[in-house]
Amino acid sequence: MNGGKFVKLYELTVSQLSSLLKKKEINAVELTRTVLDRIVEAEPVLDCYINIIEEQAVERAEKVQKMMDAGELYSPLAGIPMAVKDNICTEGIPTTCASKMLQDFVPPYNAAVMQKLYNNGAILLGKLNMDEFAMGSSTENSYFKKTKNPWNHDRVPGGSSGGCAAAVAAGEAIYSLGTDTGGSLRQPSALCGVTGFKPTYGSVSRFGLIGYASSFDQIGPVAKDVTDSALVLNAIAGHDSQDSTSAGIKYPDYTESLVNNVKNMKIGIPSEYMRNNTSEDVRKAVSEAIELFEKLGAKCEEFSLPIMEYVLPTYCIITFAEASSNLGRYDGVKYGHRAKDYKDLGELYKRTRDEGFGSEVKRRIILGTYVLSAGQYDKYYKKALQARRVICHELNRAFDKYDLIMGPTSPSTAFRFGTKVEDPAEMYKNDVLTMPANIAGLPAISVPCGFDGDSMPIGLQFIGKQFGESTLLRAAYTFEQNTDFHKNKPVIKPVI
Amino acid sequence: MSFSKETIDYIAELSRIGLSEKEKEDMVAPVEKILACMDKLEELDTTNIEPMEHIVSAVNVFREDKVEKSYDRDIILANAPEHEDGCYSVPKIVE
Repeated sequence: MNGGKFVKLYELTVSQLSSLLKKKEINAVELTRTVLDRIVEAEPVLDCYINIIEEQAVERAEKVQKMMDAGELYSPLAGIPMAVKDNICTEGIPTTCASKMLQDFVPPYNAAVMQKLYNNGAILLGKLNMDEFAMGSSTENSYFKKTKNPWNHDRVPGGSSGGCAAAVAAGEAIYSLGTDTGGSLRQPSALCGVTGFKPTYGSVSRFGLIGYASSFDQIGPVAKDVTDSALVLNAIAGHDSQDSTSAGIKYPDYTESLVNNVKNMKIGIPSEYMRNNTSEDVRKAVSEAIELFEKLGAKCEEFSLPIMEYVLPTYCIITFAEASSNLGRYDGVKYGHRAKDYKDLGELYKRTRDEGFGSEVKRRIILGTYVLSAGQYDKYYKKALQARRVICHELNRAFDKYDLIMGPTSPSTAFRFGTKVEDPAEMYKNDVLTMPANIAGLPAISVPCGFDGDSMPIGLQFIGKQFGESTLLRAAYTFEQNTDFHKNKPVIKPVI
Repeated sequence: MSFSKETIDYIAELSRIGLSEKEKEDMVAPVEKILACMDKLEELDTTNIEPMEHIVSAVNVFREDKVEKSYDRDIILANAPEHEDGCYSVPKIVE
């Protein structure tokens, strides 16, 4: 196959593996063992996982295989080994949020998405590394380890879902679930050359997701291609009474949107996405994508979205405010870390929170508390809520003219470790092209669209209308069917 | 805008985070940079714009008040750093 190159099972997609499983050419246990072997091989280099549950994965694979043999499980996800970001609660399996605060936390229940995946016969391999409490763009803020970019081990995988993207790119999981608050699954997907899909706010239950900024957070799949993204979304989307923001709409079969046709589709490219901090290589790759869409019959047009200037401050103010409130629960009483040395309750709180949180988390709590404090509330928080409405309005106006917005996912490719940690404001700018979708709750997807001069992957982003997943998937699928970027695999050199 | 050490002291107190002196000093520069970025919003005219509390048309969700399965006390307390006689344990609050 593939010019004599032997393709390994862990390199295949969900749809390919599912078909092999159904034809009984492979079985779930063998497949799970193969991916676990790949983890043993690649993990010493990449550090994608916080926790690997080898025995439980094999046990589950045995159980799932039996159910498949008995004709009790038909899902395309049945028997497929996968992993989730460590802010998604897994019953009986530690869920740390990559924080010292939750180092020993073992959830007594499964997140809604985890339960749904188990019901579909998914095989959980373990929990993936991330920036602490999903705050970061490089996964360098993890309390435990630094995940490396599979394409160049001196560079970051992006973040905060860095482990999710690196694991899928390296074949350490067939797909994963990440979360996206300002680009946290699309940006690492772009930087690691995989597909990251943030669905419309409210279409995937957040029950059991450890919150960062609840009006922005959304769970979504990180996968090897658009087809797999649709298959996973089919399993996890849907109304859930346990999440009061869950949308009560009629959920479609997302695979029906996998149509290779963009004729007459109107695509708007914000000129702000193509200038400012956007690197030359990224610009070139996206321009080539625009040409391809034109050739395929879509109508592409550049337009101005001046409100982009206000996206970063709006995002920072609201998400930090929500974070400061959400993280108030870590008090050293009910669960999580507790300081050893204190003389009263006040000191217990303060020491616990100082010891348990890392510096970026503390910075965001401090800033969030500040923008909500008496005297600052109107100037910052209320102002940002007003700006949020203006941004939503401007984006909706764009959708009066265009079916989709398209542009780069990230202004640059993966950067080297340590280059942006000193200047958080610079780090936040990495997510400025992904933030609008979270501010307005829109669906957005990142697909691989090229490589820069250093052979680092570049991501192309599509942003759709609320619940406009169908158009989004059609455009992304069409792009993928007419290009080969998603088929490239990084070479992981084992540690000697 | 300047974010003084006194402001950090006050906000750290509100946040119940016992930052060390060194942490407070290290925080000033990055926090000032981020605030400068946030201050950009002042330029945006938001006269008569209603603050946006919800991005999706949220309505109150009501349901019957019925008894449902909960968790065993032991399971919940298993995550507590300290517990005693089936309760969370904290330092004495009232003298």
